[in-house]
Amino acid sequence: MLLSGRTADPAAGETDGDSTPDLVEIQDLGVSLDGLPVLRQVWLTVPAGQAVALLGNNGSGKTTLVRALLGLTPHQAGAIRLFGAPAVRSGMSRRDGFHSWWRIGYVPQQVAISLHATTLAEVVRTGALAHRHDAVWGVTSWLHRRHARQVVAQALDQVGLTAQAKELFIHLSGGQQRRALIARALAQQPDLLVLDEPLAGVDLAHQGLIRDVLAGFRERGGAILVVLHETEALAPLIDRAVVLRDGRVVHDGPLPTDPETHWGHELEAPPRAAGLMTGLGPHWER
Amino acid sequence: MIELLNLAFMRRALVAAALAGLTAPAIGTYIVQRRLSLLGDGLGHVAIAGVGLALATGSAPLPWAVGACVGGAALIELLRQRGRASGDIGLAILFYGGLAAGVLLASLAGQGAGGLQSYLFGSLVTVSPGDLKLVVALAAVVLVVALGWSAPLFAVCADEDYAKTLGLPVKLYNFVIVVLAAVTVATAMRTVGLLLVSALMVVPVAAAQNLCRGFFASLAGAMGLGLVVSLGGVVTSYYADLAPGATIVLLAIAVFVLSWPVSAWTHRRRHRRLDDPDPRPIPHHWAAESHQDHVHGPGCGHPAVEHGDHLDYLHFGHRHVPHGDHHDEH
Ligand SMILES: Nc1ncnc2c1ncn2[C@@H]1O[C@H](COP(=O)(O)OP(=O)(O)OP(=O)(O)O)[C@@H](O)[C@H]1O
Ligand SMILES: [Mg+2]
Repeated sequence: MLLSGRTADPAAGETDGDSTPDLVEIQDLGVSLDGLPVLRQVWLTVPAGQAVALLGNNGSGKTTLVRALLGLTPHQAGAIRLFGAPAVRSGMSRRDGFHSWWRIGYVPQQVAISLHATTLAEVVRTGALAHRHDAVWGVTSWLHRRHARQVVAQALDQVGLTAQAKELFIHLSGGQQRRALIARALAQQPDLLVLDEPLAGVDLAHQGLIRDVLAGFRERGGAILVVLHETEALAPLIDRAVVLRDGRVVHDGPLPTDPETHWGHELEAPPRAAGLMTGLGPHWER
Repeated sequence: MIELLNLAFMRRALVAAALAGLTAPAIGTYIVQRRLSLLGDGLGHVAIAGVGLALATGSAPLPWAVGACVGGAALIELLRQRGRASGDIGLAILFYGGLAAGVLLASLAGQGAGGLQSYLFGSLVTVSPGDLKLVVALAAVVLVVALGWSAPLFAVCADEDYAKTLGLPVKLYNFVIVVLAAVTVATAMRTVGLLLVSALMVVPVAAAQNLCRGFFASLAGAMGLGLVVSLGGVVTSYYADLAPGATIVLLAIAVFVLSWPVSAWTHRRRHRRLDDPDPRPIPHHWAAESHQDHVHGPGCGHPAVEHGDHLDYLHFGHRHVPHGDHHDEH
C-alpha cells in the first residue's frame, strides 16, 4: 500500500529531469523521540504550486514530520531536500545545502508566545525579519523598516486582525492568536507555507477568510503543506492528501472522501459517535 | 548641583551610573522576556570571584570581574544549550562557588569580606579614571548590540523555534544575550554593586511594562527610567550620605510601585475606547440549514428574539432569520 501510494504519484518520477524541483522531498525518513520510533520510512513530496494536506489521527506523527522537515527535530534516517537542495541547519557548513529558510512560512500547532508586554503587530513583525537576508547583516535599513511595516499591515488585514494590531498578544483570544500566527507566516512572503492545524479554534467566518487567503497564495504560485483534522473548510483547495498512521504513510493521493477507509480499521478509529450525533438531525453538522 | 560636577570623582560616578542605568534595563528587557530574571544576580556572584582574584593578586578589579563574569556566563549558556543545566544544581554550584571563592581570595589578600563591601553595594569614590574608560567602552558595545540587533534578539526571545525556522542563528543570539548581561553586571559593579545590579536589570523593566505598550516601547521606557533612577540615586546618595547602590534600587522600586495605579488608569481609559463598535465587522451571512416545509415568521411556533432591527427565530438553539428563499444564521 505504501509503495503503490508513492509510485502512483506522477510527480515522483519526474523530479530529476524537471526544471522546477519539488519544494519538499522527504525520502525514507525515520524519526525517534526519546528512543521511540515516531516516524518510519516516510516519503513525502510537495511539488511547486500544489496544496498537500497531511492527515492522520492524534499521535500519528504529523507534527513530528512537520518539525523534522523544518529542522526543529533531528531525524535518524532518510533525507530531506528543500527547494532541490539538501536541508542543512545554519551553523553546519555545506555550501550546496538549503539555507533559504525564510522561504518557508511556518504556523506551529501550539502558540509558544507568552510574552507579557508584546503587541500583536510586534509578533507579526518577526515574520518580516525574513526579508533581512538581502540587507547588510544585522543592519535594519530605513527601506527595510518601511517595507516591513507595509508587509505586516497587509498580513494583519488578510487574517482580519487590523483593528487588534496594537493589542497585547496575550490578551487575544485563542482563535485570534492562531490567526496572528498565520499572519506572521504570511509576513515572510514565503514560497511554501507549512501550517500545523491552522484552523483549530478559528470561527467559521474567519475560516472562510483564511481559505481565501490560502487560495490566493496558491494562485500566485505558492505551495502549501497543511496538517488538518477537519478537511471540509479547505477541501476545494487541496490537490493531494497524505495520510499518516502510526508514523507511516498509508495513503498518498486524492483527498479521501471517507476518511475511515484510509485512516485505519474501523475498530482502531476513535468512536465517531455516528449514530449519536447525526441522529439529532443536520443542525449539528454546521 | 553645580559643585557636584566640580568634583572629579563625582563626574566619573555620574557617568558610570548613567551608563549602568541605560545598559542594565536594556539587556534586562531581553532577560525578563526569557524569564531569566535572576540570571543577573547569579552572574553578580560569579563576578565576586574575579574581584577576589584581583585583590589577591593586587591588580585592578574591574577587568578581572568582567573576565570572570563573561567566562561564567559562557559556561552557563554552553551547559544550557547542551541541555545539562536543567536541574538548577549546576547553576547553584557555579554561583555560590563564585561567591565563596571571592570571599576566600579576599581574605587571603588580608581584606576579609569587608574589603569586598564597596564592590557588593557600590561606592561613589571608587570609580577610577582607568575604570571609567573601560566602563564607557563596554557600555558602548552593550548598547550598540542590544539596540542594533533588537529585532532578531526580540524574535529569539519571543519564539525560539520560530526564529530557528527563519534561519536566524539562534544559538549565537542566545549567547550574545547572556554575555552582554555578564558585561553589564561587571561594569555596574562600581556604582550599583554586584549584589544589587540585578535589580536594575529587572525593576525598571517591570515598571516600563506597566507604563508602555509593546516590547520596543518598554525597552525605551526601561532605559529612560533606569537613567533617571541611577542619576537621581547618585545625587541623593551624595547629599544624604547614603550607599549609592541601595538608593538607586529603592528609587527604582518606588517608580515601580507608582507605575501600578498609572497602568490601571490607562488600562481603564483604553477599554472605554475599545467599547466603540468595530469599524469593520466581518459580514455575517451564513445560510442556515434548509427547512423543507417551514418558513419562520410570526406565529410559526418558534420563539422570536429581537436582534437589532429585526426578529430572529430560535431553531434548535440557532437564531434564524428569513432571507429571500432561505434562512440565515444570526
Ligand atoms: N518530545 C517527545 N518525546 C517523546 N515522544 C513524543 C514527543 N513528542 C511527540 N511524541 C510522540 O510522538 C507521537 C507523534 O506525535 P505528534 O505530535 O507528531 O502527533 P500528531 O500527529 O501531530 O498528533 P495531533 O493530531 O494530536 O497533533 C505521539 O505518539 C507522541 O506521544
Ligand atoms: Mg500535531
